[in-house]
Amino acid sequence: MTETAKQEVKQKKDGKKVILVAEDDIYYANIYKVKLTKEGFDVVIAANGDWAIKLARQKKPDLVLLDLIMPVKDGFEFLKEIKKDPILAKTKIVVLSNLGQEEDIKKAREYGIDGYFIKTNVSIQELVSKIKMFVN
Amino acid sequence: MNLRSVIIFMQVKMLKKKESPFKNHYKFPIPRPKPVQAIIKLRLAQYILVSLSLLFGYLYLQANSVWSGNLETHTLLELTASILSFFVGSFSLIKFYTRQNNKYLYIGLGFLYAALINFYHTYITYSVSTVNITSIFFEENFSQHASGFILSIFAVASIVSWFYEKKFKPVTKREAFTVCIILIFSSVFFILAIPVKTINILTSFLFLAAFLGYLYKRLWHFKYFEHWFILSLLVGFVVQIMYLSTDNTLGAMFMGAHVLKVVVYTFSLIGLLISMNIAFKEVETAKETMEAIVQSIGNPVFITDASEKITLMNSQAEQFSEISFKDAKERPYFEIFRFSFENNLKKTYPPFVKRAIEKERVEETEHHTVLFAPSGEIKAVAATAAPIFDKMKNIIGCIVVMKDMSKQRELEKIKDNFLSVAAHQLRTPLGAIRWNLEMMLTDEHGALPAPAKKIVSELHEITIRFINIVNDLLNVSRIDQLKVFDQPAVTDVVLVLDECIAELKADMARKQVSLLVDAKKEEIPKILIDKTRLKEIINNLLSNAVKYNKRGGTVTARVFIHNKHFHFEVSDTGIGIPKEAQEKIFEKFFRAVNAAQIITDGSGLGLFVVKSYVEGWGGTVSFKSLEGKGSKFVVKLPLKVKKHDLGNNLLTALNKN
Repeated sequence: MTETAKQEVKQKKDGKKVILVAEDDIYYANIYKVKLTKEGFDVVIAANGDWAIKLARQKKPDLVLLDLIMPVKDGFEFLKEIKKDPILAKTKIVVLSNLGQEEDIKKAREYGIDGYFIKTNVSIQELVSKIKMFVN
Repeated sequence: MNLRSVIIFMQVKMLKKKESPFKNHYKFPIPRPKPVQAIIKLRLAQYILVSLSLLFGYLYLQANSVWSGNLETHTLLELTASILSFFVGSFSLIKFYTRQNNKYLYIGLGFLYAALINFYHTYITYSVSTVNITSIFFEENFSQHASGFILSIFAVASIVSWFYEKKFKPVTKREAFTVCIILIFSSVFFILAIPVKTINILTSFLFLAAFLGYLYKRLWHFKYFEHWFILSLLVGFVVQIMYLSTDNTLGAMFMGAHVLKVVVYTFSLIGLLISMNIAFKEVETAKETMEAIVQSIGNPVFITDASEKITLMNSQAEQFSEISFKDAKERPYFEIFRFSFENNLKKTYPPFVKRAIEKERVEETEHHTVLFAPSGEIKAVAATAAPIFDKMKNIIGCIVVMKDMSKQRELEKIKDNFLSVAAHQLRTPLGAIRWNLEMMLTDEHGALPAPAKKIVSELHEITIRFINIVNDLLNVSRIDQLKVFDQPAVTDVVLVLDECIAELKADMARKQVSLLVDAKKEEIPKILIDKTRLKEIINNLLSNAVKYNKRGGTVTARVFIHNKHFHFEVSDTGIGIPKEAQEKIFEKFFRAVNAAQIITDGSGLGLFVVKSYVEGWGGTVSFKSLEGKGSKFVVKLPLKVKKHDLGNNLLTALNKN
């Protein structure tokens, strides 16, 4: 068994839910990491879309927190890739972006997401409780 | 891509001024009229010349009685005169029919009546000659002189009518016709009852009067018919003098008079023919002038007939559509100009030209309309279709003026881009600040001492306000750019209200503002409305009610149905709106002085957004307020919310302001 596979098994045994955070801004990434770890989640950060896809394939997260504006590949491209993959297509994805334009929301919804939040318009507490809801 | 680079990019774009090339200037020769003075001099000269030649002719004939005619010549001349006067009369009546000028009615009827008399006289003369009375003198028949008399009467009638119309009111066709009938019948009496010589004297005076009258009118300065008619009157006058000066019906003078009678009719005929020719030419020139005008318009323009087929296109339109007028002629416009929606290329474009024709009003294309060119290029365009009416107010076609909107669209897209980038750039740090502060406020990340916690709490409030201002700004610019798409869904209004209340709980607690809610869930049906916008409106009104409230005050929220309308009322016991501020309270960025003193950082956009949305849905928002006591805002919405294209509704709402 490979190391990663052992790790995965361990995590599953731990019962910790895995949340993949696709976010390039270090401040937000840090907040997610700190807050969500405290809440008992296993948090994995990907700083660009490409890494996000790789990590998604690897970790098969219970929830993905997706930012739309990211280098290399953006959130929309991530959605496209993930939805193409039969295994990952069912992954729960919540978009967390500061883009609030109608077209962006429409576009994201077309791929099939489970939630869309504008970061500035939601408090961290509310977000955490929504995340908990999604994961369960 | 950061904000700074976008701003620089935009500034550079606006600085780059592109010259619009003046291509395809249509040059056509502008017909220049001869200087008027020359014409006047020329015509005066003609009058003088004719007068002199008549004078000399008269004197010559007076002196030389050598030449004498016979009945055959007489008959021939009379026949010629009859035919000529008949034609003059007919043409004049045709002119009356087309120009509606009463003058031509009088003259036309006069000449026709004269023609009648002339034909009769021809017949008399002919029958006399065939019966072979070789007598040199024959009984003067009234018909000899009646035609001149009639002509002079009607000529004078036309002058009198002109004077009357100048001084008093216009004469209708019916009135003019009545006068003619009266003249026709009363003249019979004159002709039969009055001796010949008297008729001649009368006629000569009448001709003179008419001659002077037409000279006075001064239309001969530039009108052809009037000029030649004056010559006719002049000659006619001389004819009467000639009749008066001899009794020898077959003498030179008499014959001369007959010849001149023909000249009278000829001059009038010439005048009419020239005038009619010019009228035809004018029509042609008018058509050419119109085409030249259309050609020289800088925008693509095309004209259709009443059945939407293209009848004219300028070169700009040819370039824009990439189809030449030759190929486009007589084809329905939508085959040549394929309009479409920018964001939905497959959707059929509404027939705005047909609508313009049927509704008899100007129709415009929608925003973000494009044209499909044969090359595959998609061109941003805006078009206005206006129906064309003729004199009888019938629709004879439609003129469509287009505008290449590519620059505007480009600018809009840059602004759009800027908007996205701005939103993102402004919000990114704000969001991070907010969450970090919120994390500090819980004790999970290390408890803060109370004073520090208070400061952090205030930082949090400030941040929230900052976020709200940014949101407001973005909302308003989106409205301005018609980017607000309505997504109506079956919404439980009371639920939305509860959500808003929940979000304001902290603020209310801090100000110790109590809330009364009167909303019976069972009584209020769910309505089809955009939930986000509705929440925005309710939130705006409620947060205002809390923000500007007194410490320990109350906020009352009522939701009810009345008169097929949905009512939402928010009352507060706050600072109220001063009278001077009341009419401006819904304006963009407006803040009342007393509000600005209490809350320094309000954006002044909240109520503008509320009004825009509510009116876009076909509703109304109103308020009652007393400074120092409180305010009550009322939103009324029809249960069936209007047309869900919030963008267009907002545009009309914005334009009304």
